[in-house]
Order: sequence, then C-alpha cells, then structure tokens
Amino acid sequence: MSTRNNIDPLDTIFARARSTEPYVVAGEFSASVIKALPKGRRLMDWQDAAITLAFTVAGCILAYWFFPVERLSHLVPNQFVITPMMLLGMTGCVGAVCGGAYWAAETSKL
Amino acid sequence: MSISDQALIDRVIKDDNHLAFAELVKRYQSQLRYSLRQLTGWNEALADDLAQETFIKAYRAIASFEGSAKFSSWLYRIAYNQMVSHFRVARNRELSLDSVGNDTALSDLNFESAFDLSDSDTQVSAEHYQQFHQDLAKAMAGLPQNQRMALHMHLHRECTQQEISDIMNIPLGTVKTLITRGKISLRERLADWQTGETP
Repeated sequence: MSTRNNIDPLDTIFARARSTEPYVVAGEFSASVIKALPKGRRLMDWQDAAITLAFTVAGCILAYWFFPVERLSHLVPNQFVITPMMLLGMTGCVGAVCGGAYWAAETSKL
Repeated sequence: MSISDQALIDRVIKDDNHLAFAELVKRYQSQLRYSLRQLTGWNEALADDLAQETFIKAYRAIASFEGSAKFSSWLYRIAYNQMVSHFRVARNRELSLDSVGNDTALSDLNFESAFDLSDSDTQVSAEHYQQFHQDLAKAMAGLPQNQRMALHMHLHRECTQQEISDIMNIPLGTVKTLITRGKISLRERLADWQTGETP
C-alpha cells in the first residue's frame, strides 16, 4: 500500500493502458478507406498551376477579342459620391455576407 | 526490411499509389482508432468514422506533408481537427459528448487492474483489459475535448509538449495548462475511487 501512495495514480493507470493497448484489427476498415479514396490521378502542384495559368491566358485573349472593353470603359463613372445611406447599406451587406459565411462554417461538416 | 513511411508517401504523391497508401493505413489504423475511441468515450462507430475521414483527408492532402514532423503526428493533427469539427456540429445539434461522461457513474468504472502490479498479464483476461480501456475512455469523456486530447497525447502516446502544441496548433503554454488542468480534473473524477469511498 505504501507504494500506491507515492505513485501518481494517473501515471500508473496510463502506464497500464499503454502496456495493454489492444491492436485494433483492420478487418473491413482498411478496405473501406481505400474504397473511399478519390479516383483518378492527382495533379502535381506545378501541373495544377500551369493549367490554371494557361486557361487564364486563353480567357484573357478571348475576352480581349470578344468583349467590348473600350465601349464599356466609357460607361464607368469618373467619380461618385458615397452617401451615408449607401455606406450603411454596404456595411449591412458585408455584415450579412460575413454572418452567412460564419453560419455556413459552423454548420458545415467540412 | 520494411519500407519507410517517407518512401511510401513519395510513392503516393508521385504515382498515386493506392497500395502504398493502404500500407500506411495498415501501419497507423490501430493506434489512431484506439486513440479516437479514447477521445470519444469509447464510441467505436464514431471513432471509426472519424478515423476513416482522417485517412481520406490525409490522402487528399498528402502532397502538403513536409516530412519535418512524424507522419503519425500529422495524422493526429488531421484527426484532432476532424474531431473538433464533429463536436462543433454536434454541439450545435445539442449532442454533446459530455453526456457520455455524465451518464457513466464513476463507481461503475474499474481501474483495479491498473494498480494490481503484481498481476501477470496472463492472469488477467483480455475481456478484463477491454473493460479497463473502456472505463478509462469514459472517465476521460468528462473532460473538455482539448484537455482530453492533450492528456491522451501526453500520458498515453507520450508525446512531448512541443509535439502536442504542433498537433493541436496551440501555444506551448496552453498545452502545459491543459495537461495540468486535465490531470487535476481527472484526479478529481477518480478521487472517490482513490479514497476507497466507492466500492
């Protein structure tokens, strides 16, 4: 009994837990993990970046030829005034988007 | 001679080799599933679901494994994030794990075998040890999940405080606090048994 008083019971309990830890048999577990893995070859980082860059450049070229940039650029106002109501509205929109994102993050299983 | 973890990881990254990943699963599934059982109040179905999600996430993100830490530590980091995420959702649904701990009377738990150091392993049945591990998990279930994780990694997996800090992504000082408070809480939970007040 004297030894019991000197030893931290938690150390004793966990020492026994470590020494007697059971081997959890893989069984169906490993097979189910492998079955659930995404199929198809995964791209390397540089390949992913190269494809993204190529499509971005192609998109820019298409946009340059087909999009009436010059005509639309004249429609952009040279100056505009932010009223208190506009500022309030923008703040409300940002708040709503942030609130929605927070709610989605809290309820999402991802 | 077995292939190193890093060699298997390289094969998974380079060739998308499922067999190499299956070998990694085989190597780590037991300890991860056991740990998750300890961290979920011995809820085997939940622990296995979390373990499966952990391995799938690990496979998807394996290219980001830098090799500076142990593969097991990296896996535990993913598993811990999975568990935190799961219980956050469960909390929102009012399905707290705390109910597992509260429903289990401490007098029902059995830690006798841990102190019977004179007993040889052959004298104590496998069922007896199985019950001991379940009881330990149920006692741990009464602690907050971050204390539970820190305590399990420190006392059971014998990780350093720095490793725990990396796994849980919290400052070293917080790890020390969690371990200290976790030990106090667990001792308090076992106090009745220690003083012999419960049969």
